[in-house]
Amino acid sequence: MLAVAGLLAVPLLGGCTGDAQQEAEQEKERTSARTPVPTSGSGAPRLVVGEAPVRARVVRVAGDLTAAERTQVKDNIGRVVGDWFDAAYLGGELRDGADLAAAFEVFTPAAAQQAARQADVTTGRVLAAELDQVVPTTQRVEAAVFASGRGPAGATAKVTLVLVGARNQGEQVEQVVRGELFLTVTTDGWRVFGFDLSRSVGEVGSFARAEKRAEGGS
Amino acid sequence: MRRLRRWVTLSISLAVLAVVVPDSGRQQFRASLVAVEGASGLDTGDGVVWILALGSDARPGEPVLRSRADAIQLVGVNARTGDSTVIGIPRDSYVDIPGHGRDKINASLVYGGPELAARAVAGLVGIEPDYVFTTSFVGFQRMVFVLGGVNVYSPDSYVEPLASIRRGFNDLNGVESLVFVRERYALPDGDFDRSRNQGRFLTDGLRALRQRADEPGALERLVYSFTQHTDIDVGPVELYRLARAVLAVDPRRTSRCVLDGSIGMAGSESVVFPDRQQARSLGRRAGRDAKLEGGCG
Repeated sequence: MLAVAGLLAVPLLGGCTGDAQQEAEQEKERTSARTPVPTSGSGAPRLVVGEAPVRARVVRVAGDLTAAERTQVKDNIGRVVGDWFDAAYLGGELRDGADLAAAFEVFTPAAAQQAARQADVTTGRVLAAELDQVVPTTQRVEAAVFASGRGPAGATAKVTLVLVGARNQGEQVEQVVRGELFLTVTTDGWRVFGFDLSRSVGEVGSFARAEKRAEGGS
Repeated sequence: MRRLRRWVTLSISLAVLAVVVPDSGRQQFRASLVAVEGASGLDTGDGVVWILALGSDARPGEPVLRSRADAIQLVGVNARTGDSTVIGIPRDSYVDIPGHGRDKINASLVYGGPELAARAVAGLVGIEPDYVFTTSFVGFQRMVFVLGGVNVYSPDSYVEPLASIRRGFNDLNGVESLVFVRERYALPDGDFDRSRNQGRFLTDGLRALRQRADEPGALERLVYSFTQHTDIDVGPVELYRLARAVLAVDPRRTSRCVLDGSIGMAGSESVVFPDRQQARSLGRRAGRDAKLEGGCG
């Protein structure tokens, strides 16, 4: 049985609220989280890479939300997206041919069906069978929220998941999932009713280099 | 199909109408990027939504929902496939209005508001709208402003006091857009051409909406703006999901038709006798998937 080290802990830590102190604390958390730490797999080569928590932010609000509501929205959307990251890419269950439905519990039923049909992108199953260890190095959620007089109603969450995986021969790969999730408030809380995602695979560090280039070019 | 009728007095429903490489799993990871795959989906309920977009000609002080409709466009949206169909109905079309005998279809809004207008259109085309959006002059202009203007194609050129429209594409602000969708005297085929222009505006407005929606939070701002400028009978969650469905439409996959008809007299009034066979044909062919194959005939 394969061990999946990186999934040992995927702490869900809210995110930025625009408050300077919180930003500073989160930056501290982020920096701390990226300090290289070894993760272990049963007998497999150890993957030494920093594990990043989910960082959620509300970047735009159209409508009226109190500071408390905004924080709540950030936490809730962060939790929903983090649950999907965890179930679909980090949890390791997919390698055993588990029911795909488990990966999409935070999706509406119709969206879950559509996502399951495109599971090569919406889950990590393509690589799951080959990897001994998986560690998320970036878990980012940036939400634009629509709120009516009755509270938050819908949101577009720009998501980025970068994970490093190790094969038992020691070869490392980087998998990047990016795109948008569309969410609305339901009786069960925030749920994903649509998605527009891409998944790419490359050598470790590709994502960071691409981001750096993008920042330099902007 | 879901038949959940809602109406919205909407400032501009018109505007809303708005590398895969092989499995990389066993590749050697030598390149900086060896695979990119995409996936997309949208939960849109039953899939196809029909929206009746009405442009009320209410003057200041007149009730928007009880005035005649200058623009009558039936829009089908299939978010799953990206297809859409826009059926323009000349406002003077002489039809059965339930409970009111025969009259111009634009009078249905006066007699019974958006619900009766929807029933009159359903009686003609055979498609019962899921939603009815009614726009006012002012609301229409405001929403075009929120969109940042609309680049619209006009097959005709003409000059009006508030707008000069040239043949080809025009960058129009709210006032100019209103002129564009209302003008009929300067057009060779009068009310029919006006209805065609309204359909063009819907498609080009959707294109503008899609461009704006690439900006973070743009869709959320637009939906919020709707709620601020409209008398609305749709919950915010439903409205947000509807906006996402409309945004999923590919303007290149839009079919537009204007219902044909012959001009004649009904009593002392000049009316259009609509081509009922064509109306039913359009409804039958586009009703299920909002895809109109075989043209407008």
